[in-house]
Amino acid sequence: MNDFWSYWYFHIPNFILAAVMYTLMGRLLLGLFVPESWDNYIWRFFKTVTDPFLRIVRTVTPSILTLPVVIVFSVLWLMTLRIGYLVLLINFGIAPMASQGG
Amino acid sequence: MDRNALVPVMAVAIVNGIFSPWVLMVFLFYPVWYPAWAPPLSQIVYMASALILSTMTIMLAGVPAALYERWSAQPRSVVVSSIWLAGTVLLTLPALPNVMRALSGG
Repeated sequence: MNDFWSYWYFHIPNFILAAVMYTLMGRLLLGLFVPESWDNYIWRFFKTVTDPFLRIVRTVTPSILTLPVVIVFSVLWLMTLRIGYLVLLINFGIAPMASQGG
Repeated sequence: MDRNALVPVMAVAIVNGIFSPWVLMVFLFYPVWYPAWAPPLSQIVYMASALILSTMTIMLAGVPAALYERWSAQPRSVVVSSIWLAGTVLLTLPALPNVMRALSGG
């Protein structure tokens, strides 16, 4: 069994969180150049993937902050979640270890 | 809520970003968050660590303020900004010894 499936409980959640995180970064970057209501399929995909998470972060963010700030906060929350999950697994002694390869 | 109320929150968060002992933890975790293509200069990594910590201070301190704003029937902006500022000051307490040391020039 390869390393991915040995540590699926780390890799799969980490992959999903990373995917949402980078999609948020993409939305933030693209949002600098396009209007929020743009009807392009890539933009709609970015919004579909990130909107559920943005709604959660919006709940714990004061309403004075604008959407781009909420996106930055969401990226940081996701980064914190990923690192926190890794630290949790390290504490339980079940985190994936770096191998020497070969 | 008045935008000017953000100024003291941001000022305290910047102080926390520079002087907090947690900045070392963020710095040590740099392989996780620092892009591989960026120059691995310790000064730049430290600056980015301070920036991340400042932003996270504002973010975490904003949670109780936001929850008050959502759950209160008639939220008052002065209360929201006070909760936010109090949270930021609370998170900055561990940085105080370093601030004092810097102010005394030692």
